[in-house]
Amino acid sequence: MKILAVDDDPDFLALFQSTLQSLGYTRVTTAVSGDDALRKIGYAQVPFDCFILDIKMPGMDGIELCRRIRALPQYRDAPIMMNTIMSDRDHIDRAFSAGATDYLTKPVDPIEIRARLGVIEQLVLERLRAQIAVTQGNGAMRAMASYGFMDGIPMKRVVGAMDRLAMANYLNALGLFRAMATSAVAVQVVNAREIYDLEGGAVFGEIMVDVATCLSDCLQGRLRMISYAGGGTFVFLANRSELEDGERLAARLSHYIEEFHLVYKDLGITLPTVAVGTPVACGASHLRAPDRIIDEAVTGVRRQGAGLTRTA
Amino acid sequence: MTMHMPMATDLAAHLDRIRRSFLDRLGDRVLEIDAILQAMDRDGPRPELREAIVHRAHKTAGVAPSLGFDELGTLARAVEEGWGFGYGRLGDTEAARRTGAMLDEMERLLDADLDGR
Repeated sequence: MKILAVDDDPDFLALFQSTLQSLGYTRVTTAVSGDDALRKIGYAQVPFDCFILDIKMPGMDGIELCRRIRALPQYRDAPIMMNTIMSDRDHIDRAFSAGATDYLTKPVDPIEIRARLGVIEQLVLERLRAQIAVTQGNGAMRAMASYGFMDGIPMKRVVGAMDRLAMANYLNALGLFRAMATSAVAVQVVNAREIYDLEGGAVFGEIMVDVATCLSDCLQGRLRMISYAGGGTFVFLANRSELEDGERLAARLSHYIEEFHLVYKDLGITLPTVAVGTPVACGASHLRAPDRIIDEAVTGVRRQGAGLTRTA
Repeated sequence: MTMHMPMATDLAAHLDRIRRSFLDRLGDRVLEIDAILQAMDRDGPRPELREAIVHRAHKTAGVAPSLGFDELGTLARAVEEGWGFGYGRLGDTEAARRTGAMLDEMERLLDADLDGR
């Protein structure tokens, strides 16, 4: 895995590089500033697989660098890990909002780094395999990605969209105490299976992006973090103090989706209908893994018919 | 610069070199922070002076514990909070006291390093 590590402290960079080396990661490039990093990214003939960024640097800080890397088409899905001693909520929120995938806190802990990079390496391999499958496919496949019903669907052009791993890492980075102020809420496209069977995987993918866009527009709180869980299910995070009543959110979301009505009618596509699940908050049972609220919200919206707010 | 680092057998020696480099720079860092404190005495805790201390404390806190200087790391973190996030709550006196404690620890490490050479 080819890694770019960015930090303005030469001692830290040397230490970090040694740690990575001892863990078997030998293809490590270093940069001492945001500008230096962007220059090296621009020159790289073989793209980087992963970025590890310090936050507090003179000039361009790590969060701005993260945003700029994420804006490069080649790296819109690349894992970006923040590595910093800034463990306050504001920095964590801003880092993930800028597109960070994970958040490590200094000082360097080799066991933690091994675990986190192991997950990221798996992610890189999976994406590589998916990319190879697409580029080896026929022209139609390359023109419009097709998805299985339960597959993940890239939502990168949707404001606030993040993958499941980043959302889980966000909650874990907050820690239980701060995560207790956050709830996960799932939204189910009730007729997702019907739409998928009628329209196929490619159109289904586009429709899910439309729903995600509507959901993003609906979220009015400070947090705007949305992930797609497959099978027509979305999950978003909200501060508990800013949680909106489920029925009202479902009604507003339906209103936004209704704006697609004419376009969908012309194309002969069924309009998605949505249900909003019961919010799931962190509690004592999530002590070791605050991110479990994501799965519980998803499972809940799929199974708890009685607790759902449905709109047509 | 893409580096292909020496294998794990050389790791201890490599860490020693990093530790040496850190201590070599630590003396300059002490002098820089002293100069900033003097400027604060003269001009008051202007934001750019506070930020200059926070930056140095931040960098110290990030690397010191990994090199075995746990106490320095803890003190540097307290300085960063003192002049940074917690500044309004703590005020100048407490932030300056924390900075003094960090400088004391830096000088103690430098003295110990001299004794060990």
